[in-house]
Amino acid sequence: MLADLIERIFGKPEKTGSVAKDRLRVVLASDRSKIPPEVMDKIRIELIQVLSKYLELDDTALNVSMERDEDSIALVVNTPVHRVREVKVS
Amino acid sequence: MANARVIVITSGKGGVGKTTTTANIGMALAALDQRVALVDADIGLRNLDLALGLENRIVYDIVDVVEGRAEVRKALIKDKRNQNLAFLPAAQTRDKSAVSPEQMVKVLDDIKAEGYNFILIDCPAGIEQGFKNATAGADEAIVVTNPEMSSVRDADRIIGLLESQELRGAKLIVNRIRMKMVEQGEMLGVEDVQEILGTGVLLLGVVPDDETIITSTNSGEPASMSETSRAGQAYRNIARRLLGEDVPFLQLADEKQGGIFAKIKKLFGG
Repeated sequence: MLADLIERIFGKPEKTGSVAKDRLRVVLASDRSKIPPEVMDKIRIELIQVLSKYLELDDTALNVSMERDEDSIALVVNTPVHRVREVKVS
Repeated sequence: MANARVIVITSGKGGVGKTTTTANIGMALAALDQRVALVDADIGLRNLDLALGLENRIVYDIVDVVEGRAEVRKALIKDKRNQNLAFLPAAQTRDKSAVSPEQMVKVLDDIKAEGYNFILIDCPAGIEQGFKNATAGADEAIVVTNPEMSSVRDADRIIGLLESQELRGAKLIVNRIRMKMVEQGEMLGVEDVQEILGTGVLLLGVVPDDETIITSTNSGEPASMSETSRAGQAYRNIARRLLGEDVPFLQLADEKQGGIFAKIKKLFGG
């Protein structure tokens, strides 16, 4: 069968049960976080402002997301850092 | 005045089996010598009467009680099949605004005064007025979900809302599970659902997707009255767990083996 052949070449597709689980995790994390998208945008912009004082960043690559494990929700900020600025801490 | 346990049966999403669950647990508890009153809080969309097969015996409903036309004792329909079971119907021609949360609490107090051990409230779908009414006088909650995305999502929302109303430690029933599909990886399993919903809920029961639910509703006899219904067995187990008994959960393996031994096992376990 063609379907079998495709499976053999590309590997088995993920089972829908685990697809459902992954999708639910993501949607529930955002349901539970109750942070509207506008606020997320604002958080992102202000984080860039603060971090840029100390680090040289590519501000288009800064990624902010809500993630969940077990019972807690985490704000995850992911960004490449080009260089650490030399800042005098008084 | 007895200390009745007042339990609301809710889900958020419609069509996951709240009413069937209410009827079946009620009947199963009554069979275990508990005095049980079932309250249909779905005003305007009366359905619990059908699940119980009591639709022809309704004289008064919950709105009649709230508005003083009937005392709760008179409005409660006693089930002739089991005298331990009584039922307070929803009004069919009114809407959710006909009852306030305070009035619901008063109705429940009146039922408690009649000496019931359990009051089970069949909550309407949704998170609005009807949900607020149905949860107002409850001190425990059972959340029914199907192993399906939108149902689990709504269950999560409902658990949050229950917690904000101080109804913590909700108990979870995973309804309409198809073990074969779970085994094939094509349906969320009980553990998946539990993991997603977190530790805020405790698993109370697992009910298989079972055609006997349809036939038993057709005939107005809750499946828990049938010795051969697997779903009925699951509901009887849930009733026993509510009474504090430690009853093992339905196992995946039970359905895997199709042999005569598995069938015998099904009759006793599940």
